[in-house]
Amino acid sequence: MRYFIIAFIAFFGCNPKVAQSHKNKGSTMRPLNYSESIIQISKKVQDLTWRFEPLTYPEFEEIYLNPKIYLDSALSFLSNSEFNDVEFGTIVLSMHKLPLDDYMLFTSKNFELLKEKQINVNQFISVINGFYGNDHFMKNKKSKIIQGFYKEILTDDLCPPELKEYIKEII
Amino acid sequence: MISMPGPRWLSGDASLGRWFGTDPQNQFASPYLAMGNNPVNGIDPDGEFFIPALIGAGISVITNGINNLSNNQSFFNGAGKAAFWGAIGGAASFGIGVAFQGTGSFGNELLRAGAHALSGGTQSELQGGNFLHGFFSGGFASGVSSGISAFGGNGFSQILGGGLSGGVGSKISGGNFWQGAGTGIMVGALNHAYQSGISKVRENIAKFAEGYIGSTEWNYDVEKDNFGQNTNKCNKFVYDVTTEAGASPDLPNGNWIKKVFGFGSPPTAGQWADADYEIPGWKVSDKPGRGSVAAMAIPGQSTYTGHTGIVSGMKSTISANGKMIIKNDWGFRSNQSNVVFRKWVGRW
Repeated sequence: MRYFIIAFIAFFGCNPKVAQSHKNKGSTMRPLNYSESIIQISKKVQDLTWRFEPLTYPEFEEIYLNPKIYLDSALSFLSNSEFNDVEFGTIVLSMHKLPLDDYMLFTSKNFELLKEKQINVNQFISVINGFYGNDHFMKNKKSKIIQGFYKEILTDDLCPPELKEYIKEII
Repeated sequence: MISMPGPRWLSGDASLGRWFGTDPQNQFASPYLAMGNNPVNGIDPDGEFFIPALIGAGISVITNGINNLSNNQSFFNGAGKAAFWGAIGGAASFGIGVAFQGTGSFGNELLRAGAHALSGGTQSELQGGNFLHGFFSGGFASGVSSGISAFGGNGFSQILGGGLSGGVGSKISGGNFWQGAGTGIMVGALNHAYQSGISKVRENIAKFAEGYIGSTEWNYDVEKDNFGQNTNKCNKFVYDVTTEAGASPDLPNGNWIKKVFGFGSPPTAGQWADADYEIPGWKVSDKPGRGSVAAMAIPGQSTYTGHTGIVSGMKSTISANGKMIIKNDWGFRSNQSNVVFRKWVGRW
């Protein structure tokens, strides 16, 4: 009997899924996987008719309210996965509440994706013009960090000309 | 024998004092409880029935006066009583109109005519007159007005047809032509013509919205009137289309100076989606149709209160998604249970 109990504890105590599910019974509903959550929520909203619709789903709230925790996952998702327009929008929305420094990191990643042609110019503009709610770039337009970022874009040979035009208009 | 218009909304037993029509403002738990189901002691807080009652009183005084003149009596003889019963009849006609809405199926119109007939007969009876006089004038007027509406007749022809047929209905049942005509004019004006107008406005809202599909005027990154660049404009689209169709929801937002000078902001999507929030002329409804407004809210958000669009079909809406005006099934999807719909019901 004693061996059975030890074996039981050893099995269930070390099983990551079970351990995670126990963790989930706490007050916060941390999703098991950022990518899975984004994909599931994107399927629910179907399209971007109302791009803030993910906010009506409680399972999105955990990510939305704690974007710093999920920043790495978001960057990883963007780097390693194929994503559609809705998933991209849901990812950007999920990073809405990031502080400026972290949002700059997220934006830089998106600029890389743009240069690699994994996202288009309109998608990149939606990251910086507040389309998905984050208005750091609009509010802090004159800050050194953002002006510096814009200069970097304008001098980058791989940056599409349409984006350069857009940046010139807004600075 | 007097057969003046009377309380059409009362059931056969006047002591019950119950309404046939729903209160267009939804002020009570049951929409049938306008004035707290107490038309004698209560008031209709938003006055939705007040103006129809005034119009009814006016029509009744005039037709009573014409009848007096034709009998060589003073124009104002019995004017007070005529005004009283006319007011009740006017409000009742309006109430029946709200219940049955715009011209519908043959069955709907038959029921509407029946409601007017019963109401007219009841009024006549309550005034000590003949039930049949009011019954025929109300029923005939409603039936003829429905027919005129079904064949595309305008509001004026519905009122005229209602008046004539109401008079004829009264006359053939042995009553007074002018009293029946008064009833008929009220039925034609305050039910049929008014409701036809409402239906036309609703249809225009949907048509105008359809005309903007593909437009980029309400995009997030463009300026539109007092909505700046990089602002969400789904509510602006709804405001512009409804206002263009003659169903303005007003500009309730902004500081008092802006409101006074007419520069306020339209209702937000969150306000459209809040069933407790009053939007003048717009009534929450669980039966949306073309021209209704659909809205969903994000609880606890202030910047992005929600989304709103115009219903264009059984399961389709037209809305501004930030990139263009699109038509799809948003608002009717199986996982969207918290959508609030409102219908234009008109305002005086």
